[in-house]
Amino acid sequence: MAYEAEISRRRPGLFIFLVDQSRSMSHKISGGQHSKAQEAADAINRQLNEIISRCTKSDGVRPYFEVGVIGYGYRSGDATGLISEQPIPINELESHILRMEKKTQTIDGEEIEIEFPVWFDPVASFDTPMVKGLTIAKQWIEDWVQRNPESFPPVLINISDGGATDGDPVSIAENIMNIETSDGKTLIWNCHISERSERSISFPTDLSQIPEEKHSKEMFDMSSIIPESMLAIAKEEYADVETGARAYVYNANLEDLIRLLDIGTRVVYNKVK
Amino acid sequence: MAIKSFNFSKAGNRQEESEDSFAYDEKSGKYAICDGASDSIFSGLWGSCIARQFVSGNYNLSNPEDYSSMLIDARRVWYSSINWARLPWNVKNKSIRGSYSTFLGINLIVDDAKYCDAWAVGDSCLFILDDTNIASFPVSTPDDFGVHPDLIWSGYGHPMNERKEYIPDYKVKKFSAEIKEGSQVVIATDALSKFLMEGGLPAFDKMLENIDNREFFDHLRSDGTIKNDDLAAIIISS
Repeated sequence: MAYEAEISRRRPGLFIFLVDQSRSMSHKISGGQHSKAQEAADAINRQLNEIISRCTKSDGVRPYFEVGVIGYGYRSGDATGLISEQPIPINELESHILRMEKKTQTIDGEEIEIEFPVWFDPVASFDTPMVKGLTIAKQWIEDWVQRNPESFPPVLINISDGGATDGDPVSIAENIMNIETSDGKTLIWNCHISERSERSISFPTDLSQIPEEKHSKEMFDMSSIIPESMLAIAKEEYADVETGARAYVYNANLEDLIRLLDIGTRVVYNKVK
Repeated sequence: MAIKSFNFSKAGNRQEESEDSFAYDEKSGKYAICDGASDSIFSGLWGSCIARQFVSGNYNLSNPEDYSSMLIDARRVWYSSINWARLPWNVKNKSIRGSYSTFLGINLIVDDAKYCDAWAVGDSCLFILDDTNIASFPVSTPDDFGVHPDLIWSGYGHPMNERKEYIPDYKVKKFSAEIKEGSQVVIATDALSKFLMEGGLPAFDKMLENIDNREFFDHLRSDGTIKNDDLAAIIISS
């Protein structure tokens, strides 16, 4: 049965986040107050914090996951690990914190000041070497699967506002989606974030549902079909998600970005024992 | 009366990581078992505080005021057991929202006959076995062991505790039964209860034969017969 493996210290899960650092990421995201780069960095930092929280027990953080973040476009044609050079166990993330920030959180109508960690800052610099980013991710995933052949399959979440400027990302994404553990193939989720206020298209089942643009079609092709076990969670947020839907949101605003990250990670958290 | 008990942490976890807990006092006839929710933090501690409070106190849980008193007393112990000022940021952020646990408490009353009163929140289970029958409470079929059982909340952790008063929510299920001579009374947390309910009397026999044998339960958990969860039970034989 695919995508059913229990996640434990012996069989951890893997999350890899890819983030576009191209120049156009400096434009304000639709539905938000800040740049796409800022919102993407905030969303991933928050998600890393959420993964730590899920693994936190009274005696510390249990290594139920390994995580890695790859940025592409910080300089022309290049990509790199933003927190570490390899995925690291979640309990080691503590030693990679850039700084702590105080933020106000509302709990039960009361505003509480809470300290949150930041692991990396936003960058919006050059082009979109997505293929380079995916190449690093492929290497990370291959190495990890070799070490964890029976684990829940790796989950890769890619956030970008455009198409690759360094070649064809679809073939390498297909290669990644074919890397498998005994529990299933690697899942790729894509979030195409936008500065335009046009309607977003969430989890399409068919190419005809998205505009005929090269990059939007590419991202459709490089997105996994959402496994049945994850559909119910996607439906909690988007009622019209159908069997066969791709793990892809096109023209996403800030809310869509946050929802996609939530859906892509939540079903995996449910496998932690 | 013979009392046996066990508490085995999930396969792969250390024994001290079990979030199940129990307490009993043979003299007063009080027995309690709790299953701390894995999603929250300090939930094993919270379950243990509730179980101990029930056993050491004198609460009639059919009375909502007594129920509130018991939990407010248990919360006081829970809160004072945590060194809030020294918590690392991640533990501190998570513990603000408090802890959650199931609860099952029974009172065995020996009068002219033997009776059992039971109160439950969530899916920890009571079984009363005689030669032919098994009665269970509060869950009656294996399919009813859900992913989201009712839970008792500890109230907020620091610093929210200073802003919101802890008012327990009364959602207790009640049960009473006469215990026939020679019957056995078992209280157990959810994964074990489901196994016992599915397997009937032979499953109870297997459990009793292996009460000190963690490996037996590890095997059942690795082959999927029992969900990989903490397993705890108290078995009372007259």
